[in-house]
Amino acid sequence: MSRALHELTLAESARLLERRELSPVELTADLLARVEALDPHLGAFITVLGDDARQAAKAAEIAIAAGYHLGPLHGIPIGIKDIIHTRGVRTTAGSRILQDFVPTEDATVVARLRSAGAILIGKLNLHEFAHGVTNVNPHYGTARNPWDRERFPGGSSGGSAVAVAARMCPVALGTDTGASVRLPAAMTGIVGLRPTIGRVSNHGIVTLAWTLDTCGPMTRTVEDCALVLEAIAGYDRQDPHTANIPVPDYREGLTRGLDGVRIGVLTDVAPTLLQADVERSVNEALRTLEGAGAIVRDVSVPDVDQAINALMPVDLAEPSAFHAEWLRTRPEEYGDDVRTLLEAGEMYSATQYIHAQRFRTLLRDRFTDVLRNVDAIVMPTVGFVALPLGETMVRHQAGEEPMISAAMRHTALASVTGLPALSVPCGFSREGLPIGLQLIGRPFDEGTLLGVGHGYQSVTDWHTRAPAV
Amino acid sequence: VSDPRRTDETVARLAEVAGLELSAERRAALVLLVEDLLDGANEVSRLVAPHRDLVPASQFIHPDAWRDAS
Repeated sequence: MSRALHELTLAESARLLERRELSPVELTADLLARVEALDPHLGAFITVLGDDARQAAKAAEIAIAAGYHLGPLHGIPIGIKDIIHTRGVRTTAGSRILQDFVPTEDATVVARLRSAGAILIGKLNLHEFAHGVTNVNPHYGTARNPWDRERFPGGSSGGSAVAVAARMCPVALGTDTGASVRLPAAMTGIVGLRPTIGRVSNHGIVTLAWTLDTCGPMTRTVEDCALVLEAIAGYDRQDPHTANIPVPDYREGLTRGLDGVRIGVLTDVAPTLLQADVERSVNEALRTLEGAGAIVRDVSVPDVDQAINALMPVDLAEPSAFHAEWLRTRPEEYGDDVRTLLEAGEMYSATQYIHAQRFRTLLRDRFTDVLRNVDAIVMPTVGFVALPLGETMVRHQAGEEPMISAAMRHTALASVTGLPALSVPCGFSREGLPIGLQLIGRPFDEGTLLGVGHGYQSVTDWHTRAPAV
Repeated sequence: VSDPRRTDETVARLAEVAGLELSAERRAALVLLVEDLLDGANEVSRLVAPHRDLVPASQFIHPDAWRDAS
């Protein structure tokens, strides 16, 4: 074999594992060795499950050798954001408050991954309680961007993004409330999917905001993303918000290609709010899609600039409600930034919260109207590249603004509307930092987004570039 | 745009009602953040005001409600 094992994608490993040309034991050992070598410098993991992973790999090897191959995830090492419950393994949510919490059952998504034969390799770092966009964590250390260790990886699923980008595991699970899968995916040059609300169960995931939370795959390729989504998606009687809508064969949908696909380019967010390199890369991506047969045209959604203002009351007040007791009894155990956000969430009036929820309905209807005439709406995932550690302001073509609003300007659109969104790598800045392209789709039509994303990756090589770690 | 002095008073009053103990330093940090947040929320409230038939998204978050939109 000419390529190092850690360079293999999930799909590539799966093919070798099924043919017994690769052993899960060998693959797991290779990735654990890489974690041991790299993670002290990158801070992606909170808990490494070395012994458990080796044991599970041995069991997978025996099962596959005996002819019991469970499917593409069988024998694949996977990282799990440490806000997702894992039976018998502590789940800290990146917090001091839950530092000793050991769940007695798996989250539904973890149970489904285990049933599909996946091997849990570790629990991944995050912004405390997933309430922030930098992944600077005062309790477990800062996850560092593998493209430049002096920069943020983005958050809150920063550890998941770093682990995948640095090839410590081919796949990780993240959670996305306002940006938390897509933002770190874009800033580390990987793929991240926020599914439609109701597509993937949240049972057994520590709540951030009940009406915004989702769980999604973070991978290097869209094909791998499709494989993981298929394993975790679908109705769960333990989560009343999951929809009883059949899960399609996402891998089959990848082959549809870009010919005739209708792409809407959202023109309502001023390009001056982007860094020049981001604008250039996104425009180049649109030309690439068009060159591959897609029909690209401008679309407009009124009041889209207010999405961030509608997101904030929900994305702040709901966490404050969840944390109300701890905020009063154990306030000193929170990091300063998270404590401030939790206090801020208590400052909204009930009517402001309800108006924000009503605006969500308005914007959802406007997006779904536009999506009757296009298959996906495209924009940057985020308007700037990874910032240096400690930086709080973003500089773009229009000037300077605080990071928190700039970070979620584009990701807020899918969060507020509940629609699915995919981030795929679409280029690099002049300093060599990754840039992401976001595609928003119709409700429960993740398949179309994955098809477009895979089509794009078939004619580009951004996703094959690896950071020099 | 909010008056910072009024925001400071509002934050102090809301914190007291909510039973949150805020040091002067924490209150100052919060005021800076809350000013913009409340302005943004008020803008959204103004936008939805004419749409009297709009229901909160907490209604559409239920999966059955998606069927009309998809």
